Amino acid sequence: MARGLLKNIAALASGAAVFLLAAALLAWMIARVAEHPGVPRDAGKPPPWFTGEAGAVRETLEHSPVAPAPATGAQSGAAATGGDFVEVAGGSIEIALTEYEMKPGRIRTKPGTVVFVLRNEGRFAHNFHVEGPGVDTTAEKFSPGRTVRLQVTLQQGEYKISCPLSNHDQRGMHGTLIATSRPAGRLTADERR
Amino acid sequence: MPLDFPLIGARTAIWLAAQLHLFLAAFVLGAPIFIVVSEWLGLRTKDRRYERLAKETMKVVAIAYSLTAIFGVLFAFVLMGPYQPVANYLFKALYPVWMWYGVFILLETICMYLYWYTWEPLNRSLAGKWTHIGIGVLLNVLGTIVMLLMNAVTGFMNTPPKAIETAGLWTMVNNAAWWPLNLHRFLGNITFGGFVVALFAAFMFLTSKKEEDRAFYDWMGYIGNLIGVGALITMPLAGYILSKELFIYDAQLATFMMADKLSGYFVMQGLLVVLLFLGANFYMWLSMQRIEGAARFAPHMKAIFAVLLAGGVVWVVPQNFFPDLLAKPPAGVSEHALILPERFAFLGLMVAKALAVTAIIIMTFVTYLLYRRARATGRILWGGIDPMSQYVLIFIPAVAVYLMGLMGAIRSLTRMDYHIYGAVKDVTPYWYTATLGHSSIMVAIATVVFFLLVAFVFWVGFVIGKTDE
Repeated sequence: MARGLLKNIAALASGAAVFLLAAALLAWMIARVAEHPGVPRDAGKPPPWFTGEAGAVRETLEHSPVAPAPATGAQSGAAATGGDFVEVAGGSIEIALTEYEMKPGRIRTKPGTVVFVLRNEGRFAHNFHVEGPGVDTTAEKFSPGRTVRLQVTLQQGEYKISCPLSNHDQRGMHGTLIATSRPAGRLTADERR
Repeated sequence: MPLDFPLIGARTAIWLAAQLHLFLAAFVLGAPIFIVVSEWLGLRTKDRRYERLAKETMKVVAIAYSLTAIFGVLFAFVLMGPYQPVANYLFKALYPVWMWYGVFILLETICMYLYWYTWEPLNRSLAGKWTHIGIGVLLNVLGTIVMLLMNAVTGFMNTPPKAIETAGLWTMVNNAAWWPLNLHRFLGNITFGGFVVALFAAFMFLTSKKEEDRAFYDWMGYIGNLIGVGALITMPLAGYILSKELFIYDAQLATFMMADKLSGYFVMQGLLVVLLFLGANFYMWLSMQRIEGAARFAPHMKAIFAVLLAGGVVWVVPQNFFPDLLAKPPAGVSEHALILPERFAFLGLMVAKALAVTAIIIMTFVTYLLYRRARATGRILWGGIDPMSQYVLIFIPAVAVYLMGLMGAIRSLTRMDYHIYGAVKDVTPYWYTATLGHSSIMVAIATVVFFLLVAFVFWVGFVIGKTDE
């Protein structure tokens, strides 16, 4: 009889302990996620590099990806010209790929054989595609930190350069390359098209 | 924002109400599918265990049904208060859907009570039994229609027609995410139902005093787990189809999910799925111990678990350790220090993940094949299983419930700062994408509350009156 009573009390106590523990855990978790502006939070502010800026993602999606990347001017043997094109004498054209842009994104060079030196400075794998008069070629996909080279022979005209991976192109990872032997700022009607 | 919710905030309130409603709804929609199948198997095979499994599970469903309705109403209350603008929009745009939803909920409820309360009266003749099974089938048809109607609303919020101003009702219902969501949730409900049945069986096994009861609940736990794991294996494909549709609808959604703010969620998903498979395999190996002569298979266990663990490690390796695309490394830390080194970069790619998950699924099949082989040559001593296995049957549903909550959060957060993507902006103070830490705690709260509710249902249904039987 007494043993049965003790057993019942033990069962009741264990049940109550589990319930109280669950309630305490729930209360602690709710306090962590309470979002009412008037309630002080003890979670502390995460460092900005962790969260990113509030609203920045949306702004980026709405505004930045489609805008062509500004020319950096860091190109060896390159100079900014009329408009925002970067003039490259020929030989090698260095392009940095990040999410989701190409730097520089607007290039002018002379027709002939050129070597694209492509550096992946982003966090994801990228690729490089060039398409235009007489050329439709793609490099090998390459990882962050790697540099690959792609040799092509350009004719007079306008080429589209882009990253063909996933939706990178749609997100703004593309640019224009004009091959012309004319001086900067003097494009023919065909080249403009 | 017309109103806010005191203390915890409107988003926390609606998140919890909606999530608990969905957990319970998944169970009351998923369980009746195999309740009817089990009842039919009982009639066909004359094995009384199927009939008992069906009836006891239906008792749990009948009690859980009321809780589902209560949380549905709480969800609607929060929706009508702080989220009045979007509620108005949804009611206006999809009014006939809501109307039919009400009609079918009513019909489903009538059918559910009819199915439960006619169990005994219709059990007296063969014709009566078939009639009862017919009611069960009707219950499932009505439940599925209810699910399709609500999925139309959910899908509409994620992928409304692009020309929303001129779209007709059918275009809004038949939105890009509707059918993938229907498939995903239908399979998910079966998985969920199976695991909750296993949970119930584990609870009953651990509280049973009779050998006969233990033998039955051991068998029931095995069946519930089998159904849960069987349906679970199809879930990655259904999830892929849903993601693919979202990708086709708007490519930036895919980037947002897989490479930006929500990418960390998918690492967590990998961890949870691996835990599910580890649990399911561990349970099967423990199950094998109750089969006579099955000890000869034990040496294979180590190799199988080695592959499972290796696959799991590959799955959870992220490409980088940035929470989103805009995050910068802390001062003094190189960006490349937070990116997977070149020689391990392949581990972060989808192809490696796909291979890992394939290896995990194959090893799970191998475990089940070995179990079947052991069963074919030895007698099963039902009830003789190691009690530890029952804690595994509690662990698996806990992970499954948490996983379902987290995946639901991903689907909801893909709307970014929109209530209805691209159409109705979220202008509340809670418009921003929750961090993984925040969402993890939210899902943990919902999971703990769900388990407390389920424990209450089991206790009310099976423990209180047990001494009187």
